[in-house]
Amino acid sequence: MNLLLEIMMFLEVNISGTDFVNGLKGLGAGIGAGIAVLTGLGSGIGQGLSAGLAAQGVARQPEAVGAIRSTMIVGQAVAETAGIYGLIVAILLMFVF
Amino acid sequence: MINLEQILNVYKSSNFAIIAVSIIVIIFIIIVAIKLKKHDPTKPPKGILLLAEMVVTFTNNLCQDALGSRWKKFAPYVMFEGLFLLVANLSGLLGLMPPTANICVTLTLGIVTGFIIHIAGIKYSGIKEYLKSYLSPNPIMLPINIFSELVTPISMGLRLFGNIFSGTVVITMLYFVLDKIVILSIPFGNIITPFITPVFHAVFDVFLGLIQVYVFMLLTVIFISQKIPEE
Repeated sequence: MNLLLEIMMFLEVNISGTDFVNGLKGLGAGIGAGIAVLTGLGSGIGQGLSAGLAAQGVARQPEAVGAIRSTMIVGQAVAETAGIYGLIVAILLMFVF
Repeated sequence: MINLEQILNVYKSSNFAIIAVSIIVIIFIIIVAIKLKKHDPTKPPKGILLLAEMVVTFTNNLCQDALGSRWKKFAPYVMFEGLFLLVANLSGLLGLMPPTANICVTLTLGIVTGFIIHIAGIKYSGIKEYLKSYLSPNPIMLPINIFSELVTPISMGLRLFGNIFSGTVVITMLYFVLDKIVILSIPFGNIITPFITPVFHAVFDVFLGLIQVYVFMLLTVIFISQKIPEE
């Protein structure tokens, strides 16, 4: 924070104006949104695992394709929820600030 | 840099889309009902009746697999939910903002589904068993059980909303970028637009939309089947 202020002073930016405050808000919201979207990592790994195990199951028992597919889709949808929450937090941050 | 508020201003037509989708579903049901009354049951159905029969058979199979012999009470609700969500998610192809990209619509659907889950639980297992299920496996788990019941409708609504809304935002950003390319008069800029956008519409509106319809119907049935006792 101090470093940022010093840079701003060096560049002779008006640090008391509303533009500066709004800029800082945007900066914080952008960084927060970026971190929030990282939740997609976990849900992506989970979805990949369930798809891989479903492929194994189909290879072992080709006659159970329908049941395995619907189970896999439900599991992936539930795993996706965490990533979607992160996305919603990110979108809200971008819209509110 | 695209201002995200611009995206919201572009899609002020969300309310119009909600009404349009509801009217389309109602018209479909009315047409099917009128045709069904005139139809001779000994002959095989064709045209819109065949389509309606496919939808009903699909829903019945879905409910029969999870609910056993008590599927008949829940199949109509699941089918209407599926029809509404199907038309709503595909309406993004017409340039409308899909109604499901509005959090009011998805949370309403989630809350209605939550009520149906609890009413089914009370009806089929009795109020005593229903209340006892909150104390299982241990009375210490009571707050956690109540919390998990409260979270179910919210998570169902937010899942649908997040999927459809993120697709809408991505497609709108894409249109803004292509608009910039045309304005800057980059060579062949206006030729690539009709080749790029259909791919994104196919992925975000059709593929993810249909998967979310299936997931919402299946989750409704699965949550109901968890609440009612086994035969």
